[in-house]
Amino acid sequence: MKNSTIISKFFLAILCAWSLTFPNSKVSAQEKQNALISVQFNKVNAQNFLKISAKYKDGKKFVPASDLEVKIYKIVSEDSTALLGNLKLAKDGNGLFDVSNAISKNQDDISFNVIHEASDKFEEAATEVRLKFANLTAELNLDDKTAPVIIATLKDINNMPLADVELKVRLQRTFAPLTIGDDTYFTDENGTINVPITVKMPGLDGKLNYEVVLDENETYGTIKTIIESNIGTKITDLSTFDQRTMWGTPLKAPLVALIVPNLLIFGIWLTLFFLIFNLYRISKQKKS
Amino acid sequence: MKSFEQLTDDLAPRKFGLYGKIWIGFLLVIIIGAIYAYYLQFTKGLEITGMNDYSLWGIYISNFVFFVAISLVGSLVTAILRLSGVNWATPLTRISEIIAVAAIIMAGLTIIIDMGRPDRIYNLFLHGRLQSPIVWDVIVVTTYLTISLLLLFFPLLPDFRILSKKFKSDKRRSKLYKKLSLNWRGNDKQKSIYKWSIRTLSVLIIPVAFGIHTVTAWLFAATYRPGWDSSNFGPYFIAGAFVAGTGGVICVMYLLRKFRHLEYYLTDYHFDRMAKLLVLLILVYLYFNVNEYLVPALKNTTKESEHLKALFFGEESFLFYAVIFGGLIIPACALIFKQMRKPLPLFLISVIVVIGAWWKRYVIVVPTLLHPFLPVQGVPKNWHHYSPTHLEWLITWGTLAGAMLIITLLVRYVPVIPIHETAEEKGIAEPKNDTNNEK
Repeated sequence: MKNSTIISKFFLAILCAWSLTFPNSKVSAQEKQNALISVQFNKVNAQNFLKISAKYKDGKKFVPASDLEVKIYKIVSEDSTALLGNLKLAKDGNGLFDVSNAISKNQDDISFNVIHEASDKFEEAATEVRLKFANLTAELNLDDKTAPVIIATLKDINNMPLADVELKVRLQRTFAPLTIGDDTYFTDENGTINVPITVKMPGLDGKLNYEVVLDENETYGTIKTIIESNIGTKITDLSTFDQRTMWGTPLKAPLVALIVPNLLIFGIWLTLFFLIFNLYRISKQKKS
Repeated sequence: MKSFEQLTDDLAPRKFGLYGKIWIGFLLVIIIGAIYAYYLQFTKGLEITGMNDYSLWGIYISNFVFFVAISLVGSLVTAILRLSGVNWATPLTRISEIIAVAAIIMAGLTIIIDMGRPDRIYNLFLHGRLQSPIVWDVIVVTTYLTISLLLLFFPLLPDFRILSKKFKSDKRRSKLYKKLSLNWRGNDKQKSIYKWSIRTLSVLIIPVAFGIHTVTAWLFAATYRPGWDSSNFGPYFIAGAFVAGTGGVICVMYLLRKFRHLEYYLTDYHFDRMAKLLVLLILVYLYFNVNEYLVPALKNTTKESEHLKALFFGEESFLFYAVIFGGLIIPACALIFKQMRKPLPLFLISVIVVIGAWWKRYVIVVPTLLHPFLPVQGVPKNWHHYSPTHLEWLITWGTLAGAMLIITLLVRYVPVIPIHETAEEKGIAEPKNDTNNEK
């Protein structure tokens, strides 16, 4: 009797311990994360978009907030916003949202609000970006016979030059752009930089695309202007893929390598078939 | 002079005695062991072999080159000597053709054995490039096999007819030989087709035989590696092939003469002639060897010298000198003496020449792979060397036993010396009533 009481108390203790820990673990599994949303304004030539990225802290490291859904608002006034649209971030926690239609001409500045409404996994999160508009123009000057020069000018929306602003000049290429000249250039009092291109670079059909970039500026965001040029050294296509070569595919063998062996094979096997036929002829010569 | 009946009695195939049966049993045991080893290789892959990323060709390919080499004797004795009007070689034609057929069958099989995934061989036919020596090799091996089979079969037609008459009492056997003789009656029309066909085959086999071994040589020479990068490789391989093949024919000649008591047909004169031919061929081959090793040694480029040092003074030197001196120079010197050209000494010398020829192919194939242009780095130590595994040896022995079994079975069922041709040459008339009464 005493034993059964001890056993029942023991099981009761285990049941209590389990019932206390299990709901806790379920709660901890359902604990929502705080997503950190960052927004960057990008302007490439005439296109304007927001580069939105989100992450959250998992233990000691940050991981991308994959598939996070956000709403993008344009702040019209202090107490009024206009919904521009929704965006679902990619697996890497990044996404681009085109805001070109939300920007009107001669507008000096603009503010956006990016909000994630509470979901199963994440708490509500929001971030705001305010920026001023600026125009970055760039052209290639070929008048200087020693070297082509990239002339870029940065002005605000009222056409006033923006001096002492850091710009980068790069050559577009696969994977990552190539820096031209110094790492950065600062605009002068006219808002202008002059960058000579002293090294000739190769390009397909001589085409080279240069970009002048105002990179992640706190006031103006990222502005990129692309110059398409034809000043590269033409790349000679050395590929023999379409030619008949000894290293080509079966159908692209040199004609001599197709004709001569096939003639030999055909000639020898024709003779062999005739010789095999001779066996038949011998077998049919029954009577002398 | 012997009568036609005596000639037929001497040369007709016979049942094997005790030694013959033991021999076949011995070969079958090796073959069964090799089949089991190949089953393991087929299921587990080439990892059961000693081959690796560097020595990607091992004894299988050495064996393949050896088989191709030895098969060339068919063209030498049957075609070159026949067309040159060398009559003493007539008793040797059948033997050399049997060896050629056996060797070329096993050469084709060895290539498949060397493949890690033989089930994908169809890709060679679907996507093979006519620019590749591998494809040329497949084409030329198939062609050479067909020609060799025809060159073996055509001269057998009259002999099958003779055998069909000889074994009249054994109806099944007689019927089989009669069928194989394709109604041969020896009439003028048949003789005309027969002679034209043999002459055509004799001419055709020479370029194809040269082609098969030249293409095999190009498998190596077309690859830019120390020791193989040579324009000398085609003739070098052909010269070596004639040495190996002639040695092989002498070995089979001796054994047949001894066990089938063919002293009347395979005389000391034949052995003497074959010995002299062997000396000539060894000297030609040695000349190509001098070219092959002396020129790169004089140029002494870094990689070639590394390869040659391994052959002359390094880990391959014993094998190198053994095949050059033991397999070529000493046999050639020994055969200068008349006593050494007698059947038994010549047989023993030929056995050494054939074994030397096998290892010569190993010396050509393996050391080069272990001295590539790009240094062998960052790999396990044993990858710097190649040593074949027991299973690899068993499979290789299996192919050699397979070739010997084909030769043995052909010796059992076909006349090893052409009866019809020998009778014609010796002026022994075939009894006419035999042919005329046959309906």
